[in-house]
Amino acid sequence: MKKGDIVIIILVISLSLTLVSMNFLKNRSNNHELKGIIYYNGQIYKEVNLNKDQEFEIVTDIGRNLVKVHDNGIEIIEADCETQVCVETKIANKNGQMVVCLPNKIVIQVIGGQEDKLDGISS
Amino acid sequence: MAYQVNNKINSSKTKTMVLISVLVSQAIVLSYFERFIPLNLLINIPGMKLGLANIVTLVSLYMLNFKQSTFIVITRTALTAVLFGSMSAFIYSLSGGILSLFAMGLVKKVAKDKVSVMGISIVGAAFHNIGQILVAILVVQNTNLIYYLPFLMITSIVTGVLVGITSGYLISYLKIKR
Repeated sequence: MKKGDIVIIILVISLSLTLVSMNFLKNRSNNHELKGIIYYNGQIYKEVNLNKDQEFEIVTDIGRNLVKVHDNGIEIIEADCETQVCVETKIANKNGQMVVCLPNKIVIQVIGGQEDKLDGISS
Repeated sequence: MAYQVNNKINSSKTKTMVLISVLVSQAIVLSYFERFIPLNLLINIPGMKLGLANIVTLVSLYMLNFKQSTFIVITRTALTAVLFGSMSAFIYSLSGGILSLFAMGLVKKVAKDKVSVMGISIVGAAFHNIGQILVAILVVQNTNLIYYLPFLMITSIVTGVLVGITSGYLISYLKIKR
């Protein structure tokens, strides 16, 4: 290992930390309700309240995904894509977490819910 | 005499061709077997992988010229996609592969003596992720995907070091044998 290698490692770590903090600031939300926003092809397809358990299908021109909302979280339990990465992704239940199905151009992002905890402690 | 000279040129050409073919087939086998390593039990980041095929790209960067390395990267991603992958995965591995190859080639040229195989390998792993995420953002039309990038890049340091160590041993061995 040479000096340049350490410089490269430091550069990569600092770039990642910058991105993490940027994401943190961007996702810091002030809305209390925990909800999942489903994007298809860059546009909002549906917004769901994560406090209510439900199961529904996202049917688009490209494909079909079965979404399950439970335990204040959201996950994809079935998909007709080849990779199945979205099905293997763990349930998203915290602000900023995502479930993504690249082949079907589906992005599910969880927002809100952070302030609830603080209220719970203060009250 | 003329015959002998001609013969020598041909033999080195054949040698290079065989080396390229062996490297391409090794890359295909490596990217096939890497699927059986259950890395997602350790850390669950969608789309993360070891990047064993980068060993081949590193070897080709050190043993062959840049044009031949580009040929190897394109051929191996295309063949892997045809044999066991999917078309949608092909765009991501090709964009990641090409971007990482150019980044590695550039760093190797600019900081020739200051960086070892390990550093080049980390650069390659990091830029593979950057390329993939950028194309994914373009395909899905959602910039929120950049959320994955820092996590992928941190893991790419670990995988880059492992791949770098392996490639370092392989390259020094191959150079002696040559």
